[in-house]
Amino acid sequence: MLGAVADDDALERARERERRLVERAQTGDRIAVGELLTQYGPALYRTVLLPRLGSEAAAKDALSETYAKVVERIGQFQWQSVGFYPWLRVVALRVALDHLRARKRLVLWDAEDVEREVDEASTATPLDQRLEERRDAEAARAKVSAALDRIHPRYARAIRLRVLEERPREEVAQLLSVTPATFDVLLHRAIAALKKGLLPVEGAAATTSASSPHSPGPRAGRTKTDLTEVGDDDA
Amino acid sequence: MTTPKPPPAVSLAPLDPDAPASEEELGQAGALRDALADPTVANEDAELLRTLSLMESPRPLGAEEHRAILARALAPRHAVRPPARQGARLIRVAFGAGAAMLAVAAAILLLVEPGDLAPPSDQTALAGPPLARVRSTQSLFREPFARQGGESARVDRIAMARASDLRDNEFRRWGVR
Repeated sequence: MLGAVADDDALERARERERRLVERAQTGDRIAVGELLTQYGPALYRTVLLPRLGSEAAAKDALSETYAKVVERIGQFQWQSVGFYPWLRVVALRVALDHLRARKRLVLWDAEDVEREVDEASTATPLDQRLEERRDAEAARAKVSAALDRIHPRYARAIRLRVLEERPREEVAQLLSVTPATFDVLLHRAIAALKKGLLPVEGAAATTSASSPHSPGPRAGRTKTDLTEVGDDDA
Repeated sequence: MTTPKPPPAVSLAPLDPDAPASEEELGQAGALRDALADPTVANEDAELLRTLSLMESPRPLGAEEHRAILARALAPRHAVRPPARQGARLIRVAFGAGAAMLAVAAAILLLVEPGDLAPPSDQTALAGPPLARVRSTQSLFREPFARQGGESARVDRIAMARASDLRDNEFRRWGVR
């Protein structure tokens, strides 16, 4: 009980310190901006930008753009009891959305998903940073899981063992009772099936797209044209 | 006649995951294996697999890299200017330059015009007495204005005074006064 009170006090002090930092940042104090971004930037990269953009290079570019926008627009931020992170997350989501709209390669998180997230974040009650981070991480894992659930279990196992668990090729081949060369073919077929699973099923996308932005539905709202852009190089 | 588009490779994937592989599949599987072993090799399938890996367990950003990104963002504005700002600056500079040119032209006109409009020196010498100068109407009204009415009378008084000035000027030019 006492521990909980102490935690609350510590949180309260941290919030107060953050509020003062934001005030300084809004008067043009770049050291304060730097402190805020140092505090939240790494988590923003790991749980918001990297899962949505799917590549480290793209996520770093997006983080850089996010910081530039924060420096430019921090004067527009109005203090909230949950702190600075929810606003920062929305800025990052908008940057990620721009990147997703501009890109051509196949990703699990498409622009429509992120657009819904931006809408939700702009209208719903903002959450504490830890809650937001946990939800983002869960949403990313759920997307992966949903994609693997749509392919043959043997393909899904091959991907899980080799890619998600990062086990050596030979070990995975042994676990799947095939030679390493046969495993290469199996993994190739698995990724082909995964790509096919990411393409929309006629008439199915609309029914599954109404789920929460944090839910791992199939690629809702994606048009045939979009798919041609991202998926025609599969062959 | 249109050439039918070949079906994508995904449609060739057999229903049985362990079915014998074609030569084409063997080649693609080998390319994927090499790309997974060497991230510098470009391969769309390997990229998608890496995306899955990053979504499942995202790697943290290195402290040095984060410092570099942060330093770029906090650098003075003149170091990095977004395109929109450059455009706005260009418009401001062009507008300023245009305004300055107009001001210079107006100044030249002011310097030139009085000379052009001034009578020749010999005419000035012949003019004799000086002309009445434009002046305020304040001297025409010594009494305080009524709160309401009297506007027409005041305008008449001004008109009569100015008509008198005009007549005097004409008489002086003609040399009759």
